[in-house]
Amino acid sequence: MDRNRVSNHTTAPLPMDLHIAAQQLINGWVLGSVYGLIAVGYTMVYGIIGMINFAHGEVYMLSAYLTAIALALLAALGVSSAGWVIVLVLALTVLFTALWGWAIERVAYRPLRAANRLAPLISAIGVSLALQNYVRLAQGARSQGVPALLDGTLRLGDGENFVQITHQQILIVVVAFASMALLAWVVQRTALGRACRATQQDPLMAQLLGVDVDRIIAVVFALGAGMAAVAGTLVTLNYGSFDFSIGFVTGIKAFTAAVLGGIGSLPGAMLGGILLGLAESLFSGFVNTDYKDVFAFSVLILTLVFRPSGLLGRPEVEKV
Amino acid sequence: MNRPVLAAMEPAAALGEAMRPGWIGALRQALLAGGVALLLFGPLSGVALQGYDFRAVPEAPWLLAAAVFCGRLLYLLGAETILGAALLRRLTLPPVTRVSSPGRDRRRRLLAWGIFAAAVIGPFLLFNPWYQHPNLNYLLKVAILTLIYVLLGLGLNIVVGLAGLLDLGYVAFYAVGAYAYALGHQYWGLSFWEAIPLGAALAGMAGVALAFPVLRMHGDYLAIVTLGFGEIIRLILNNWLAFTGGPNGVRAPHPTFFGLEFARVGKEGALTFHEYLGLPYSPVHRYFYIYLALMAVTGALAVTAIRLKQMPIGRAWEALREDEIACRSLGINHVMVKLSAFGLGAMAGGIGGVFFAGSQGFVSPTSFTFIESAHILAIVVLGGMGSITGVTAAAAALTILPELLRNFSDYRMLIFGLVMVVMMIWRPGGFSTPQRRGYPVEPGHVPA
Amino acid sequence: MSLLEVQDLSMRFGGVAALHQVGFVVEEGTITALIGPNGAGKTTVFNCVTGFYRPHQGSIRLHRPEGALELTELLGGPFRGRDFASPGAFFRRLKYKIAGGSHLAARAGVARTFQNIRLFRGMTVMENLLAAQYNRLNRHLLSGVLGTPGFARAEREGIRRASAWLEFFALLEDANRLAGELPYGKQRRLEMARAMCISPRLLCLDEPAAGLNPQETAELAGWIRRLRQDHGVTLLLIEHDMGLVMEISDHVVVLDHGEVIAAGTPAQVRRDPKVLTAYLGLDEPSP
Repeated sequence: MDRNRVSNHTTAPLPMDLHIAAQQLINGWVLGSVYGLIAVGYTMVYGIIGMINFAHGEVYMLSAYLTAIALALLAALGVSSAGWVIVLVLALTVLFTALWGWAIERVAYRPLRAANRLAPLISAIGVSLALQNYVRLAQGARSQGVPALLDGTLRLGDGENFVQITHQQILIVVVAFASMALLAWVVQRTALGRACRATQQDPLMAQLLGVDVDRIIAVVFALGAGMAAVAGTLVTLNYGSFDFSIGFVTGIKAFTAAVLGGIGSLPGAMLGGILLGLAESLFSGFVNTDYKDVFAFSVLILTLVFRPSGLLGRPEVEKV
Repeated sequence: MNRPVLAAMEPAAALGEAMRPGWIGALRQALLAGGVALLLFGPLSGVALQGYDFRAVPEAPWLLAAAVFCGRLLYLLGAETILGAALLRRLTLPPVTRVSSPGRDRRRRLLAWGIFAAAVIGPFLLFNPWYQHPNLNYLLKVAILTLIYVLLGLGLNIVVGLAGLLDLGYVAFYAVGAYAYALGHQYWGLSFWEAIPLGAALAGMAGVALAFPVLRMHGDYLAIVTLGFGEIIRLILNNWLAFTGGPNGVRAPHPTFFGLEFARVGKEGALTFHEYLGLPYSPVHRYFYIYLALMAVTGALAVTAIRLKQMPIGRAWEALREDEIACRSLGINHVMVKLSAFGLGAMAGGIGGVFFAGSQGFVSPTSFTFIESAHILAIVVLGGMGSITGVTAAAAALTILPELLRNFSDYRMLIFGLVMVVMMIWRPGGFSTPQRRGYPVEPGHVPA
Repeated sequence: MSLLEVQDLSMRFGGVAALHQVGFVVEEGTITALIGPNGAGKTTVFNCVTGFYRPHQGSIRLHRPEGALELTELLGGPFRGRDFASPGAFFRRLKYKIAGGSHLAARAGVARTFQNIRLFRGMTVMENLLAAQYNRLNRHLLSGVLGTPGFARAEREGIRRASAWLEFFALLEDANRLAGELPYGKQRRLEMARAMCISPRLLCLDEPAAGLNPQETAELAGWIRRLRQDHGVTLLLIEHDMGLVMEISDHVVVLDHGEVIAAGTPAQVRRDPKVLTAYLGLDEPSP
């Protein structure tokens, strides 16, 4: 995700150059929109069944592979216009990944609704291991790549003091926000979204009022997976390279974003994602790149310690 | 947070969906499952990426889908038959907990001591002046690894099995122990035996420091925080080149026998173990020694683990797993009790790490990935969460089976993952019959 | 002498006021009943008294021989302006912020049961009672692992105390059964026995008769009376069974919409017009 980071520390005359800061803010914003998209999956699932879906990071990983496969197939079929390729790849990936999300819930979580709290978590770890290793067996352990589709770069400034935004990055931010807006519309305006919100408030009551709670939960998993797929496609198109283990760290970071924004809150997921992306970019730009993951995880722990309900979440009232 | 409500809605989940679909229904459901499987596996298995190009593997998705179809069909039809239904019920109904009558667990104790004695004496039968097994070195290495996993399994079992706290970064404590020895030796000349208490203490402190802030909140957060912590430790070990040697790792010498080395020739002409005893040199000595030492430590930990279940703290852990709010209403400080479980579990991990470093002679960050945490968790899950015999058996099985099935090593983690899911659905309590100790009652007292 | 003094207690959930300036007194050695229609805030009062909820306002004082204890402070609330004026208040606040929690209420002598029974279901009945005695047994790690005489003595004492309460509640023959396997009535009794194992001064029972048949309810009344008479326990209970309430309580507090609308002896409360209005058509007080 940091292929586009401009690492010209050596050429910068001042350590706190403004253009580097600006560049890092742009990169952070791009990275953050990706985190936000993935965080949506955590936040929605947690909101509706109170469970942390550990396998969500692997769903994101699957979408990266599905993107590459879709690209390869489209190339073989001779589709070459970049616009069409992007649209088709995005649609196919979202569709198939959502199916995976649905299937995971159906197979590994639904039978466990009555079980104790630990069972679904362990089951999710199992799913995560199984998916990683399935992909490793099916596609090999080596890192895979896709060709770049958009090469353009927007450059602001002159000489050595410039800020650049690639067209890919613009694509990421635009598509990310468009899909978030679409999701918000679905949740706020449609009958399906109403059923989702009702189930989140009170599943038993929703059931009594004729909402098919099982179906709603499945839909939420599929929606979450679909959003992760948008992220997976965008990142894969931008960064180009991925392997079977990318889901793990990205998953934790997206979860951090969800917690930071307030788990259970959709705008919170996006806000948390962007904040985490910005913080991480600034950290790796000005402090240390090697420890940027350590920094992100520390953000998670600190958030949980000082504000467990996140920025936009409501504090939980314990039911005695 | 909504879990109790959802749980109330679906009482018999595992069997509920298989409730008598009929032959046609079964076929239809199986076809649906196969069809979905075809869609799921189609792209991922059918298109093998090669650079920017791909190779079609058309048969793979069909095979997988056929397997799903057959599995689903057999399951549904099996559930239709009387025999199959009975079998399924046997498999899926939670086993009834047996409470031993007070003071009657002598037979179990005898069995445990028997196994322990056999494990100590066994290697001597394979290595003595009259008979020496040609491959003993390898066997001992496997046995040492098994014991390390037993140690880790017992430690994690305290946290996950007894206290019900999901720790997904257990490997971090293992790493702390291993590096405490390796780095302690490199910088301060620490010996193996000195490193054991140090490693345990450092790992325990790391556990407490990590858990204290998160233990107060929703349980699931602990899981992800520990996951992150495991990663942090690994990243630091990997990136702090100046101190830890980074990916190149650190040397950790093998343990010595009261200062006597297990080498052919001692360092700087020092006396070695075989010279001191007047034995011919054999590399087996070293592993034999580590094995016996580890056996003693593991045995001690197993006894401790058994005792803990009958001590106030162990009962408090289990009570906390069962109902935290009730615990608080009885004056049990849930934070301290959880912390003690976390700290003790971490200490066991630290000791395991020191032994790992000492037996390998070398540590590097690659030994401490999340996969390792998952492996230890699999041991606890398969062993039946809370059962000490179960954990021991599972540790042995999960270490020895992969050794036997080297050819299938690629499938190991895949199978672990699937088994974890299936176990949670069918036998969340593991395979063994849960056993609880009965207490004698003493009637005739007036409550005070 | 009063054991528990609740004053001016207010609590909100979100924007909804659950309690509004609730005040009442529980005299030492009495049985006090907290009654009111569903949603009146009875359980919220309970959760405040037993240290599970931190009220937004008000005080709950437990008067013990060794001095009064403010139960609302136990959960460690946010700092207030006046904390910075007095070092004592400041350190108390800080102490409870770090090491506070519901368990301190229990340690101060307030035990409780729950409306939806909360047992350690996977443990045996005896283990339930032993777990409850956590703070009274020998918790030294080494002496436990080695099984020292001191440890064995403490355990035996614990088993004796547990046996005594099991006998009291007629559960002795179930000592080595799993708590979750017991029939409902016995589970309710076990929860009371478990609460008694911490030797509380004040025992709070949240709907102890819910789900019991008339015979079991009659037995329950006997036990509650004996707890008070023979063991000097003060009881505070929430109950919907008006027959039971009128029969056993010395003092009744009536709550409606989060406010105390009446308090007094059962006879006084029964005649109170406000109580009649609140209950009329909802739950006829039995004669």
